[in-house]
Amino acid sequence: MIWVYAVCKRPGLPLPLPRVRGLAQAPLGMTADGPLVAVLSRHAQAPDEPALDALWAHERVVESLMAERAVLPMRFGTTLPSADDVRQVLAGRRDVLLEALDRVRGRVELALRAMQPAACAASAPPPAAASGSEYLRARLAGSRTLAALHEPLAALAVAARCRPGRAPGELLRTAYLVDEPAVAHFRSVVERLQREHPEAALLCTGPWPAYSFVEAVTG
Amino acid sequence: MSPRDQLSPQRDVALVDLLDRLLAGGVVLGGDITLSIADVDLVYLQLRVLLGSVPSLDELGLALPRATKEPPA
Repeated sequence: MIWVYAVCKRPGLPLPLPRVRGLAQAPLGMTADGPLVAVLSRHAQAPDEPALDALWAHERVVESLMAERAVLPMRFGTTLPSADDVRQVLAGRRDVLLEALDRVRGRVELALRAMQPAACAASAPPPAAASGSEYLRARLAGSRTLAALHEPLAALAVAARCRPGRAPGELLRTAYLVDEPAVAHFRSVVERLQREHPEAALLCTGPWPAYSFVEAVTG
Repeated sequence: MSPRDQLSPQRDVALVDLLDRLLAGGVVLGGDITLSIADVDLVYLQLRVLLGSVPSLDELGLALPRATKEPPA
């Protein structure tokens, strides 16, 4: 079984795969086809490793690659039976993969969550509004806050994506694809927004590989 | 110091973001995701232990990755 971490473009070789290990400490390998190379590890069976460790191991490999080159991160758990299958997939989807690599080259993903401050400390349900008009006022104020948070950040990003399904008290969960040189500025804008909007607690993490902006490749 | 270094300590509290990305984002090659429901449950259990209280899978808006045993035809 072959566990695939990422797909990169071949001219970036040799890949620096020295100290970084894959799942279950497996050494990393590569399978190439044309201009593309998949970074992978081989396993006799599904790696038996605590799931959280496995997630970080996968993430570490992708990050070690993205330090040097454009990478397409694979979804955690992407496996193929053999190297031949890997080559076949790389060949069959060469165009979309190359296109996606161009889209993420020199860019990183930043994650933003905005929470109601009270919801950070305790996930108590919000107090029921005394009247319908109060409820509506609260809803409106909330959506104004969301726009005020999201729009300045989206303007700094190449692309933005709102993630669905929010935790209680979570106002916003978005991913931004940002040119790498703009990351520091993006962060400073997040800090300014936090000062301007004490009604929301902002959590910005990254830079991440562009996980949220490569899904179109999945066919 | 690169932006990456500055931000890395935050990752200790960024497990929700990690899960969003690794389990719901990324490219799926060949459509074979080797990840059982039990594995995902375990991840969330560990997350709960680490963070004290975390949103449920549904609240996170994560679709469960499909566990498949057979390679794609």
